[in-house]
Amino acid sequence: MIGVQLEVWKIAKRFQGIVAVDSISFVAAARQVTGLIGPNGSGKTTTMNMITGLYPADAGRITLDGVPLTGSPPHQVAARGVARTFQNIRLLADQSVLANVTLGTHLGHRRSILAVLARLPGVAREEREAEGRCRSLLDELRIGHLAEVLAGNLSYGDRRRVEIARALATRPRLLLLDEPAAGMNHSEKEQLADLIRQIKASGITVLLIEHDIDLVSKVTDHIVCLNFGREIAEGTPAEIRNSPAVIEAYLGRDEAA
Amino acid sequence: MSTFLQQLVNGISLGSTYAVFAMGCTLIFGVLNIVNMAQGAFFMGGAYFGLEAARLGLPAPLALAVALAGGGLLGMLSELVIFRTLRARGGHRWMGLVASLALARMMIGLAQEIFGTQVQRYPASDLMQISWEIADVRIQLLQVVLLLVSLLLMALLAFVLQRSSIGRAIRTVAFSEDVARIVGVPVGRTILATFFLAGALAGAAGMLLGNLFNVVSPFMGEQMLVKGLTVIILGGLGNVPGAVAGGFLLGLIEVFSVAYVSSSFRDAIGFGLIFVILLVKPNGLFSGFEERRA
Amino acid sequence: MSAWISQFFASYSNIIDLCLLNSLVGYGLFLALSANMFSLATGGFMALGAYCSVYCTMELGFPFAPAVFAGALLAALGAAAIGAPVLRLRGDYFMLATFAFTEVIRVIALNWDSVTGGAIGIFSIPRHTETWHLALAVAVVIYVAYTLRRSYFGRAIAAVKQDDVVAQSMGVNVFMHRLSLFIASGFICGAAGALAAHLNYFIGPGDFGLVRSVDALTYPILGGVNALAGPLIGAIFTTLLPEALRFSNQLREILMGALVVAIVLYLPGGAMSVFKLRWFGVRAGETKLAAATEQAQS
Repeated sequence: MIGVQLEVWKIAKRFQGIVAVDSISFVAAARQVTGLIGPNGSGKTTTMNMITGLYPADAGRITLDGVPLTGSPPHQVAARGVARTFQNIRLLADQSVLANVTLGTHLGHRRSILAVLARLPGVAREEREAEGRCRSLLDELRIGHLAEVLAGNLSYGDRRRVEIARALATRPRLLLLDEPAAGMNHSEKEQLADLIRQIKASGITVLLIEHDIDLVSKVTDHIVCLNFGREIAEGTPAEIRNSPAVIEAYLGRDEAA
Repeated sequence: MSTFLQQLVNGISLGSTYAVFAMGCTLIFGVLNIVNMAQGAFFMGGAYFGLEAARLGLPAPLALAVALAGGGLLGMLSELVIFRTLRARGGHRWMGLVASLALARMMIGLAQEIFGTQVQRYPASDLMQISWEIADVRIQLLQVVLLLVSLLLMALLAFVLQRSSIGRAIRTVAFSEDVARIVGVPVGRTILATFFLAGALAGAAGMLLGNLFNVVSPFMGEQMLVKGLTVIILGGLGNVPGAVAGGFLLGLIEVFSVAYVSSSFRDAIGFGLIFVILLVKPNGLFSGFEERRA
Repeated sequence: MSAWISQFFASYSNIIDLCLLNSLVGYGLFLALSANMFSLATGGFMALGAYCSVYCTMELGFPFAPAVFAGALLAALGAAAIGAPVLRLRGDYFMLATFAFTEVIRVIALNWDSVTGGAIGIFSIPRHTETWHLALAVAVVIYVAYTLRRSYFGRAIAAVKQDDVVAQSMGVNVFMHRLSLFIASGFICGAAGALAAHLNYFIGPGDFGLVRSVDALTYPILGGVNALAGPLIGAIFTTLLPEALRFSNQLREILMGALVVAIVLYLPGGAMSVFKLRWFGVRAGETKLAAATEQAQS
């Protein structure tokens, strides 16, 4: 798996006249972990939804390795190798963990519906391979023992893991994590940090949208900080921590809370 | 020219009953986001309530009051028996459609059992036979009365929704049930009141149309339900003023297409129009004033 | 024994045919419902299938099988034509647009006298449909539904039903999946219309209105939209019960209505959910709890 470079150039989004994203530009370097931080309402999730095609951007350009992504609907964005998790975990609650993760293999299935209906042998093989791959993914994420459990019955941290497993099952070249640490306790956050390093080591580009500055500092190579739909600082974790603009806009308020 | 004016008069009086019926349908949708398929049965029920009252010798305004109250009670019954339970159980929204249609069937069966399958007629009244000829246009007193009663009901509904405390409660629940609960609106009772209003409007429309066509039968509600759905699509789901405008529009379209195009394709034009409107302007022709929740 | 069986079939063949026919329609709707499409287009699809196939057999002299196929194909084409614009509408507008479609078809059937016989309808249609045709059609549809459910296509559809944002993000082309199910639903309902026309000797525009469309929805919803056997159970139940209740027509309608209301109120997952409740007694409650905590946390 080869990570791609994501370039976002002057994208903007308004909702009924209210500016959600004014003008944001940044680069998430290939095979690196880039952090996108900012206070609530600073436009992080809107940016993510524009990258994944859920919202069309009003202006600007998004490219993957230089090839334009702007304007593609979400399923085509996914087909380009972009996978994501959701801030408010979105699993299919009444299905097993394995079934949820196997949904991620959707794009990997090459056999037609007619082949499925005719039960050609290749179809069963494809299914077995997909299932095998998902089971080993679950093992890697140390939730293999939960494969048959209904997703709705999982603990919070496990559900976050299943979401990441589902995203990884798509064989992504760019993984977008939307506030994966929300609601996690300290030890769960440690495990998450390990997991993100592991994903980076496998060569996938990661864009981490996060509130928790400690976690972001630990795992990212580069941080972009947003406020009021604009980018206010950019740099290494150390630079961001010392940037007066960031401290004023974000850290000060966050640490006081 | 005189045909044109004549059709205009006929279309307006027909459309006013459509408008009254559709206001009820759209009110339920605006508040609860559901289509109550039993509205057609309340319409039929109202026609029979009015008929029985008239046969007992009650004067027309009192008979109308009976039709209103009867329709309203049926509406409340549907909420108490079906929709309240479904909401409490968190059933899928489809279930309401299926259950309300089953309720409609029960009521049609019940009406057949009680009143027979024969078409019945309102007692003839000399007053209603009066009509005037103005420049070749025949205007029946009945049409004028119908229009006035419809306008009165519209004004009454507007007053209830805009000025009364129950209207404020209904608008709050329509905006958001959660908000309503937080600000202390009794949500259950408000929804019950909405069903009463919607059922009463359907019942009144039943008596009005029963008089206009002078036909009352257990099956009259099914056709009306189709018209009501048409009108609320035209007007935009949950949009009360839109339902009024849509009702008049449908009445005029029907009457004019009979006069100028062909009687046989009367309905096709109406439905074809709806189809186009849904595709071009899915929030209805009169989107703007939005009663429905965000 | 065999005499008993043949007598059984002889005396009940009409009702068996009806059960199978309604099951077929029920599965057509089952496919649509499985992707959250509350379609009232059934009446329209059945009318297209019925009139087209009858025209083929009676006017063009087609053999039965190609005529049924032609009817089903026309209904599928109708589904494709209206599906493309209509599927972009939100839930309730989708339902109302499909309702408008059914009414447009019904009104056309009412007025295109030269082909449809207008309000009078078409009489003395040759009876070609046999019980085994219907049984075969139901079996094929059940096989298709069963196989698809267990494939990647079925997983994608399940995701579309529950959360189409997730489905899209995993690369599922939600629009194409829903469109293909809608077309399949049209094909099946069209075939059912064609088979019904050649079973009943008669078709008229009144057979294909709003009531027909809602009846068709009742089968899978009463039987259960999550269980494969749901539409079959629902169709058999709603077809047999009125026959079993040998009351006056009116009383039967009242009782049927009451029963449907009772099922909807007390078995909201459909009749098949009885089995699920027994097997996974705790599950429903737990899922709800999980959903609640998730909402609280997000």
